[in-house]
Amino acid sequence: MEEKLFKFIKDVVGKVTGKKNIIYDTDFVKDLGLNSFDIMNIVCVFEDKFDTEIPSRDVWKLHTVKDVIDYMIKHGYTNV
Amino acid sequence: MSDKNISVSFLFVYHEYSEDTEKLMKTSLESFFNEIGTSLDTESVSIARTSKGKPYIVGLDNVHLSVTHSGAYCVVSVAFCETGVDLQQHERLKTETAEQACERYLKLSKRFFHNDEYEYVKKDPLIRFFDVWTAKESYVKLTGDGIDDSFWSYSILDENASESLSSWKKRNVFFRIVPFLPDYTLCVCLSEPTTVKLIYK
Repeated sequence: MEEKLFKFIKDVVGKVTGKKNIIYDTDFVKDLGLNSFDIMNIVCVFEDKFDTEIPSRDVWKLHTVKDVIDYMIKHGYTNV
Repeated sequence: MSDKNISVSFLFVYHEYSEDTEKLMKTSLESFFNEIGTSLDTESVSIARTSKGKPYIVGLDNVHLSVTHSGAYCVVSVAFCETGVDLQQHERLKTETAEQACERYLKLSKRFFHNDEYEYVKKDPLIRFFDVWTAKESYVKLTGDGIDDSFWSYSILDENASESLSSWKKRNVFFRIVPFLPDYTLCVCLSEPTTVKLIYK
């Protein structure tokens, strides 16, 4: 399942930012250089996909790809 | 230091830079003091960040800075008052048309902005979205709160905002959209009304 979610995240990040070189430990800000606008665009794609709203306080705790995968599993966002 | 200096703040612009952010902030700090006709012993100060990422100067309480990156540029704001700065390139997703970009900006506005800001953006999303986004970002960088769950609970727009934004006061701070490149929007937020000087490094 983690691989499936990883591929989904990689596709979304690639589509929104054009950045494709990501691994499980990739930090969105430190490694990819994403800013708040990039992150909000990614959040919007997620929210559309799962018809949900992700609280800002959660968004800013998700620093790496692995953090997002764990979050998706914890909250049941696994139907990708 | 004369009172005249206090009423000036600076935006230092870096293009295709190789230095890290902390180095650029320190360079900007040195340049700030050169511009106001004095000098700074950089060994006596260092730059730290709050738990929410707001940079501040250790060893210098009366000077403040903020930093932003977008596209090939980094901008550092330095002032004698509290400051926040945001630069945003008007990025389009691959193969996205102008109409699709408009729809995306409207969706982002509806999701992340106050309703007054959303209504303002609706009239000309391609430009107004970035005016509001950078203004709001610069504000939360000044306060040090960052984007949190209250981000959409208030509007940073002037009550009379009906035309393009340029310079206005709201929530006890001063906003300035600074003319920059055609496909970028740059906004600086200051706790005092200062003259803003843009310097390309």
